[in-house]
Amino acid sequence: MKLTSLSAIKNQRLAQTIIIKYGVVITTLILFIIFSFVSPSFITIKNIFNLINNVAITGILALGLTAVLIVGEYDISFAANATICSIISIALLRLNVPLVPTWLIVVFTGLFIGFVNSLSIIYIGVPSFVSTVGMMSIILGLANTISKGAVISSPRFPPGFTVLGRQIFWGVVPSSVIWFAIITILMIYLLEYTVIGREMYAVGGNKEAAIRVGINVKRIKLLAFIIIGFLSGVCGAIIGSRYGAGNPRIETSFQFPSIVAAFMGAVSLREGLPNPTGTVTAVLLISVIQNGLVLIGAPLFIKEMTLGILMLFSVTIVASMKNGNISSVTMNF
Amino acid sequence: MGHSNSETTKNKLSRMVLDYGVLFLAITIFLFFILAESKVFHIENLLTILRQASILGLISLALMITVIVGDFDISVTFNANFACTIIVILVLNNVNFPLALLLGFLGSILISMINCTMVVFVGLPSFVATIGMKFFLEGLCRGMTENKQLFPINPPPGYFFIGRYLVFDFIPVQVIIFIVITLLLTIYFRVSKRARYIHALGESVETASHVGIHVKRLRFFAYLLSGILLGLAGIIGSSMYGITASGMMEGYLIPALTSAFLGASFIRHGKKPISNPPGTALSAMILALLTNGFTMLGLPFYYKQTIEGCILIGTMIMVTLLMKRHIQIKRQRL
Repeated sequence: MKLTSLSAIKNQRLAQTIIIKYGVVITTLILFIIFSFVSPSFITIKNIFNLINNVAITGILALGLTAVLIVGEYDISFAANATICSIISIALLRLNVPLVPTWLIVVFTGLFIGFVNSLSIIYIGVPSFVSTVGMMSIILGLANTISKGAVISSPRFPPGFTVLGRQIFWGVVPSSVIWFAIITILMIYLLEYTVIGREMYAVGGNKEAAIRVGINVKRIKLLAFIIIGFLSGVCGAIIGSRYGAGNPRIETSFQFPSIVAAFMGAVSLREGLPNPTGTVTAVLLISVIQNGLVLIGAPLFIKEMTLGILMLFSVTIVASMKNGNISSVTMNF
Repeated sequence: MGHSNSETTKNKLSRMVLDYGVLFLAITIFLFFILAESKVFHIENLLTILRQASILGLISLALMITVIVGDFDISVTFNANFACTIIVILVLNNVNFPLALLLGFLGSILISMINCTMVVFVGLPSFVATIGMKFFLEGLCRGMTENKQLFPINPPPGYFFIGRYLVFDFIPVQVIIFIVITLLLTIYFRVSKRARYIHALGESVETASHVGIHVKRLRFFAYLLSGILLGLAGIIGSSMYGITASGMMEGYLIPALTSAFLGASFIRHGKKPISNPPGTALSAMILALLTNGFTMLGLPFYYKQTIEGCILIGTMIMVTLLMKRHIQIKRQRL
């Protein structure tokens, strides 16, 4: 009979925990180092900001999704929400609506869609997953209706238009990165350091207990959907500014990477609990991986397969840890 | 001491709307298309509708089975597409035709088994596992077809038999397959003990396992059944469309979800709404009618997208309300 010493077990557990918790960060660093050997231009400041810029929009959307996951719901429609907001922004600018009111309307539209999403989920009790799938279809249909199925653009844009999406500040920092950083700080502050953030975690953790403690579950869930709607609206404005055109098919570029990032973020740093810091690190890892795939010249379809494998891998870890908080989708009424 | 004997008018009205809502919807759709003078009800068109309904119906039935056990399988459309892609590629490479069909069929079952492993044995939430599988399959199919549309240049004899041959010059073979399978499933779900257990474990996994039902084995069986149906859908698709493209069956997802839930309120008459084969099949036919009608009216695809989404959400609201009302009534009876 082999006696395994207690400290050996503790060390093994510690190693496991470290690998899982910091796996994403460690992998990112390792890949980063490898790629900088492959291509010397990888490690320049410009390229680093480029890496972040590539996933800035994905990251903002993923942060919104994190909020919804924390309260225990799902939302598949956020990318479609961002798409229709970007189309609305271009459409309004085409009609010569001034810049700031356009962006305000766009952000409010995103917020409103998030609100509408929440109605059937919170007040009737429809499972959030199916409801948002249906909503996604409606939103995409409406987006295509506005743009008549094509990519729309505008012959001229008001000055200051590129501030959201394309401008480069101080010579190096792209504007999307700045917005991403601001929203990251805000979300981390909201979710980790405020009472409302605590309440959101509580609702997602154990709804019954949250009710009995006196948390207004409906209001918290509503807030989560409004947050993701708001962030989707912001992303819509950024997308419109960045590409200068409204493309109804752009939602496919952002939908899956954001979902993967949110779930991978749940694994890293918190062992199963969706959290904003983890999401951001996951987003950066995705950027590094995708950049690496381009560097080695991999065909396009590998990207989706890689993301799929990444997500399944990370969610498997969460499920086997059983410490996780990813609510399963069943018809519970 | 319940309210079941003395219903207020409002309750009665809402009950009628909920129970007969689907019939009402179907009649509305029929009337709309007749009045809009679309050519929907011409004979050739009805056959087209039935053809679309066959594939949609099989996919919906596969989805329905996973819904009964309490999971969602979002990868169903790409699963069928995967089978179709395998078949077309193999036929293009002059592989023996029955073998190609068999391999495509097994491919679907393999995907379902992988889904099953992730959900049942590893314990991933089904939505997460199947959405990952969906994107994985999308990338895989796109890679396999190199992002082009593939069609068999010299199709072997019998290739179009399932999809295009008409029995008695009238009924497409695939429709016969669809109707036979629906009948088989309907009978099976009424008669078989195992089917009853599947329903039980869909209601409450804990209770079922306490009663002695072998939960994992049954869920495995459910996924297997679902994979078989999807393999058939892929085979029919390869024959009917004659081509394979990576996003081909994507348009069936929302209607399939809707069918699985819309059927739940059919033919139940006050019993608990549960997805059932005849209801799902009927809903699939109604939705195929709807899709076809939009095409015949020449409406752009995004109208269809929006309305399909609305119908899905409307169906979900209706089913949720029915379930809640059923639970309330049950509680009052206790």
